[in-house]
Formats: sequence, C-alpha cells, structure tokens
Amino acid sequence: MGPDKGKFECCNALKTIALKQAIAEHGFKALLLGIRRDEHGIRAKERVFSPRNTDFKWNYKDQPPELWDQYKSKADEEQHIRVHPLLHWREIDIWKYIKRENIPITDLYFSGGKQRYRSLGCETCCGKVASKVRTIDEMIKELETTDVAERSGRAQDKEKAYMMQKLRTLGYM
Amino acid sequence: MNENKAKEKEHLKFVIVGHVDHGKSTLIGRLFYDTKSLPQGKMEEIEQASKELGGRIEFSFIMDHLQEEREQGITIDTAQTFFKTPRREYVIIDAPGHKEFIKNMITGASQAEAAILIVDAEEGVQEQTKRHAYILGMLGLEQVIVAMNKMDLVDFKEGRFNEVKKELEDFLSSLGISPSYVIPISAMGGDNVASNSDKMPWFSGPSILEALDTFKLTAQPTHKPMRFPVQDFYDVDGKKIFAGRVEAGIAKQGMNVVLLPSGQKTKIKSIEEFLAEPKQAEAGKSIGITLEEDAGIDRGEIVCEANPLPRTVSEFEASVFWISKEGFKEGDSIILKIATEEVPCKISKINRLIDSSTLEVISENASSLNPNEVAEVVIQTEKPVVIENFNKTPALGRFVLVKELEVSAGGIIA
Repeated sequence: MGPDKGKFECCNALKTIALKQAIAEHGFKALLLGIRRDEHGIRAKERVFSPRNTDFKWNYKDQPPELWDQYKSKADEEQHIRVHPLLHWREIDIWKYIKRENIPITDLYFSGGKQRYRSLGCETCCGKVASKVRTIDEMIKELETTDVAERSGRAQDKEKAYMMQKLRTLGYM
Repeated sequence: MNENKAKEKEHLKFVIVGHVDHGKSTLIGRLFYDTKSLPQGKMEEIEQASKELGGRIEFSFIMDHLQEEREQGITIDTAQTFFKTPRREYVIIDAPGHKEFIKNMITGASQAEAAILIVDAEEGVQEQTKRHAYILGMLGLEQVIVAMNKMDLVDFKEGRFNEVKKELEDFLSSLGISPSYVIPISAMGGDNVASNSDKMPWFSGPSILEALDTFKLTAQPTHKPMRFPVQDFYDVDGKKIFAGRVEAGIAKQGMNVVLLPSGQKTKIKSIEEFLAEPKQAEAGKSIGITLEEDAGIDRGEIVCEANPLPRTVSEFEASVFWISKEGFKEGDSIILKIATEEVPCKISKINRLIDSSTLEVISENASSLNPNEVAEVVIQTEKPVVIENFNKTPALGRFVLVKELEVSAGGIIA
C-alpha cells in the first residue's frame, strides 16, 4: 500500500483499517483521541464523546447532543466511543501547554533553517511549511501571527473536495 | 499557573442563531473575511467549491463543511471556529436553523456566553427565530445582539427595520430577554458588520464587531457558597483523594463542609494538586481534596459549604426541553444526570406543555412529550439528589435526561 495506489485508498488502509483491526483485537470500548476543532472544518463539527457503530461509521447527520458537561458516555455493545478531550484547544494552546509543562517533543516540528512540519501524519503524504522556528517560544510567536493553515502540508486535506469527510465517515480520526 | 492564565488573551464564546436562511453562516463568513481571520488558501478553496456547485461565492462554506450542507445550502450541525479583533479573541459557534436539527442548535448554544439572534428584514420573525429565542432565554443567556440581516433587500429602509424590531422585541420581552443591541446589517455586503455602513445613515448604533467587543466574559461564581461535585476518588500514598471541579465558591483547607446527599459533616483537610500545595482552589478549577474523616462517599456526592446548603430532594419541579427524536411517554424509565450525580427517575407529572415557538400552552395535563416540546414537569428520583436554583449555582440547576442511552432532554431548575 502507498499513495501511488490512490491517496484515499492509502489513507483508509493505513489508518482506518489498521485502527479497526486493533480495536477488534483488543476489544476497546473507547478511544482517547487528540483531534481539535481548529484543525479542519469537519473536525469542527465533532462531539467530545462521539459514538461509532460496528462498521466504524460516523453518523455525522445525527450526532448526540452535548449540553453543559453532560455527554453520551455510555454506548451499547455494538458501539465504541471516540473521546476528544482536547476538541476545544487550538494549535497555539498545545504549544503553550508543552512550554508550561516542559513536555519533550520530536525535532520534526522545528525548522533546520527554512522549513518545518506543522502537522505530522504518514511520512509519504506530509509536507513541510516555510518556517524559521527553532524553539517553542518562536513557535508560539509564529502561531500568533501566521495565516498558513495548520494542515496545509497534509495531502489528504487537499486531494479532493470532501475527502476528509469521506475518510472520517469511514472511521478516520 | 494562575499567573500564566491571567496573561492569556480574553476569549469570548458566542453563538449565532435564528431561522433557516436568515444568514447565520453568511454572517460568520463575513466576520472572518473582514477581520482577515481566514488562513491562506481558504478563500480559494471556497471559490473553487462555489464554482463546482455553480453559484456565486458562498461565505457560508467557511462553516458549512459537509458535502450535504454545501450542496443543499443548509447547516446541519453546529461547528466552532475562532477569530480575533484587536480587543480580544472569539470562538464563534454556528448553529443550524432547521427545526429537525434543534438538538444541534442547543448543543451549540449551551456552550456560549453571548448570542447573536439573526432575523431576515424582509421575511421578518419566523418560527425558528422564536424557538431559538426561547432556548436562549431558557439557557439564561443575557448578552444578546439582534442582527437584522438582508437590509439590502428592503432598500436599507428604517421603517421596515423598526417594524420588525418592534415585533421581535415584544416577543423577547415576554421571555425576559432584552437585547443589548438591535443592529441593521447586510451580511452579504458587509454593512454594519465589521464597520459602520454609509447606506444606513439613520442608524447611529455600533457595528456587530463593536457590539461584541462590549460584551463581558462570564465570571466564575467565586463569591457563592462552595460546591464541589465529586467525580471520582483515588488512593495515592495512603491518602484518599477526591477529584472534581469546584463549581462555586472557593474550596479552602480547613473549611467546614457537609457532604450531600449523605449529610455527613467534616472538614477539608487538604487541597491536592500535582507538584503543588495550594491552600485553596476557586470555582472553575479542577483539583483533588482530602477530607478529615474517612467518608464512604463516591462519585455524585457534593461537598458543600453551608449557609445555605443546596436542597436534597426526591421530587422537584423543572422546565425541560425534549430534543430526542424519540419522544417521552408516561412510565418511560429515564436517568437524570446533574453535575456528577446520576440517578434513575421518572417524570411523574407534566404540568404545562408549551409550544416553544408560539409560547401557547398546548396542554395542562399531558402524558407524553414530543421532540421540540417544552414542558414544566415534576421529576421523581429513585434516590435523593442535590439540586439548586439555576441562577444560584448553574452546575446544580441544569441537567439532562437520558433515555435508552441517548441524551434526550435538557432541563433547568428555576
């Protein structure tokens, strides 16, 4: 499998189908995921507690209501629940938190001088963005003023209209 | 940690509500465009998608991301996004205008601290304008802007503006809502959105952005009696630590407290935080506490400061809004979730069933609730629950009802 077989097919195989297999093997009832609303317009529509049926399908037309801090925290046997505790965070909040708590991170987010990764996924489909950022402080400064989208280096977001929606409907994170 | 927080820029969350096609998503698009909050390439993406669907540029595509939404020109689900003014940062919550998607609208509105109620100057007040206004009132939203949109379709005439304004204000006042501003706009043309328009010299009020900038962030209820709903407990190094969020007041070391519903009296022995030894924790903070006596309490217990204590009851009156597709029938078993309490209950009486858009009383002795109906009800719980008036301690005055694993209704205790 690789993006030469088609980006949609590749994304679906490497991420969604692999995840499906892991859930089946371990019998997970809930997954904790770090997706955020500000990453993508489709993720902006997510719930904090988001159920998926056995086929993994995301029924985005009929999502559970979330009032105050009450969520759909129980699912029947046929479902698993995706839990998104960072849904309301923004990209800059992540970096401020990393700074505050002094959390170690990979160097891939930093620039060698001209470019860096803003968002990391599969190696084959991630591109760098122009940036001189070498430290977390510079990162926070860059994010305060940038008008480049976080996932602008991610091929699957741009491939075709609604590709992200279709991937997510099938179970992509 | 608190110092860091104080330096953070302000962050106000507001929701845009109103009848279908009155221009909610378009107004959001315009706010983004005029404050230059769109990332690079976003406008091109929207132009491309608009072209594929054969139409003019659709600002609404900034929020309407689902294929069905773009093709049908409607908003199905609520979405949230961010923009900035020089004054502060905003989270915009978009909400769908169709009656079928009311639960998505409530999901969005329940997270907001201010609202823009949009109404079409040509069409005037419609069913969802009223229903959404009702929900804003029920949720206790006090900072409300009425945006009268599509003024371009009525030739920017003051007369039409005043007509619709009067009709809407009369309805809102019956709900106890007095809007902070009523602003004539054209979201499509950008009139009175980010800056004042020369097309309506008769209007001297602020633009939408100026009006938003005057709103206040919701303050945490730190001056009220302390309330700490227990989420869970952990044994750490021989200490029993209760975890939760302070919902009102300030939890302090040495404070005399009553545990409800059990009624035990004890003291807060310590406030626990990772790598810190705070002496107190105020409303809004998630922390751990230990108690002087080894209380055999569990999730759902509320640690309370006395004077006054909340009510511990097995029966109470509330207003509920039924949002699930499955209605309620007498005898249905449901679960009440309020703060961290979770108790089986039943609706023992439906005192008044109200149409949320006309405010007409449909029935004074109903035995069922249908989707989108509002009612004043009596709830009987299997075990005692701790409640408080919504205006006193919001966290103990609002709840949801769960039927067959689905969150089916929202409720307010007034």
